[in-house]
Amino acid sequence: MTAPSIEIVIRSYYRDLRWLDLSLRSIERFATGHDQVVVVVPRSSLPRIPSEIPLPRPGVRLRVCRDYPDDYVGQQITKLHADRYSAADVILHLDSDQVFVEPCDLRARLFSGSLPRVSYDTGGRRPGPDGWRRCPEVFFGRPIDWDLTAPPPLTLPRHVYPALRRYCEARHGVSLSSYARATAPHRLCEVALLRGFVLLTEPDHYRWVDVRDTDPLPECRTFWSRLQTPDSAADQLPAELRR
Amino acid sequence: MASIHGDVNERMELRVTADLVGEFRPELAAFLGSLDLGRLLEEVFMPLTTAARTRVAVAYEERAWPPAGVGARALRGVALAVVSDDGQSLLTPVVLSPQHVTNVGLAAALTKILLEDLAADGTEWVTIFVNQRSKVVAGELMGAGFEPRAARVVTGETEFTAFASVPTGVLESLGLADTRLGDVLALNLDRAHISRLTAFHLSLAAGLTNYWADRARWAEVFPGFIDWATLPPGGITGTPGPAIDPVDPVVIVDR
Repeated sequence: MTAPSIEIVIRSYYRDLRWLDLSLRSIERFATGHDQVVVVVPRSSLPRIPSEIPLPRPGVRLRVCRDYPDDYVGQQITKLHADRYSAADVILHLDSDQVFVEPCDLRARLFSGSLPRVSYDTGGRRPGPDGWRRCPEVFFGRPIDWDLTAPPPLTLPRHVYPALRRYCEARHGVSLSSYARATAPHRLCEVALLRGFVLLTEPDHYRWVDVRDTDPLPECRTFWSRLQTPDSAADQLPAELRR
Repeated sequence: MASIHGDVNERMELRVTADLVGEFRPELAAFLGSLDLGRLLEEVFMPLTTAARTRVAVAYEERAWPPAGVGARALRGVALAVVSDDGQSLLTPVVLSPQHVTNVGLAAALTKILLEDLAADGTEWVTIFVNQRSKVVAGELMGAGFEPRAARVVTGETEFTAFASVPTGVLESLGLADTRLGDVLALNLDRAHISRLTAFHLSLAAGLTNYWADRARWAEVFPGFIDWATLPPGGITGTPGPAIDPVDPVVIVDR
């Protein structure tokens, strides 16, 4: 059987371009096992890309999404439609501020045999009433004990995305985009919706990994782009990635 | 080498709004307050944006988290155009917050997005009023494609002359037409280009300073706060000027 194609999808925007550049260089330097990287930015961010950050570049496609009045919600909507930007069998979500610091075979790290590993958290990092934590319960109308809000990586087969969108229209009578726009940002967590959908509909198709026990991608370090810059985080990066 | 403002400029949100006060009133109040110009909110911006059609390029920073609520956004720069129905726009040059006074990349970026927006919106001419005795600002404007016209603003003993250009002409002259916004913000430009933008923006900003301080006689630039579509009663003295002149009235501003 042919191995499924895997693409990394990164939804970025003008504020994160330095982080994006660093992340792409880290993928090129350390990550293997994937096919291409797909970077998605809103249209208004295109002219903000300085010429010193080449996009597209070998191994990296650049796709454009629409502008949203609130891009915090916009980036969540983009991720919920990731299959429209990537034709791969399997989509790996990463963020612009996630940087590989060691060699990583993504197929080995993100799959158990043929099953994608999907993270959950039983550690109580987010209390039960937290808006993001409750997001999938509210959306699906069913109790979910696990905390599904862990940030990417998130690896899912492409059929999940249209299926989730159809589910939203059937249950809520609106598109998933409309649902997202009508939901307060602190009550919407796109990765929790995606994880919740596969947990409720096809749990046996995945290997569920508690982040208390296992870092899903230890070779990849997550920074916080709104507080740090690549320069300020340079001492936490391997020499190959410093500028 | 990165500029002093390079990092912050990369994170700066820039856009053009038709409703400055409606969208940014608390941010505008804080911004004007930081410049000791707080009175302008009530004296100028509120009545102006209510009575006239405006397009305003704004630059603002957002705090790390949360993205909404009190103090979530801080205005760092404003460039304003009062837009008429006959294809003219009256400009107020870029005003920056005190810490960004030498942030030429930001000033140039605001100029770029405002002029591009005005051109797309149908503005044929953009106009800045300049002290008739000005050499510094007048020279910079002429170097950027502006030409003196017949229109005048008279305030006290001082006359300000309209300098007008097509918006795309200004963008071309300043080398902003085909330059990526990201490169402008980062000043990823050759030294001569940076010097050109620096002279243009710093002279205009300095030229406004005396007006803000109520010393119009010494101001090189008159801010574009005139409501061109609804000129004040009794404020027009005639002298239409040449027929082809895109801007022709004379406006008396009481001091």
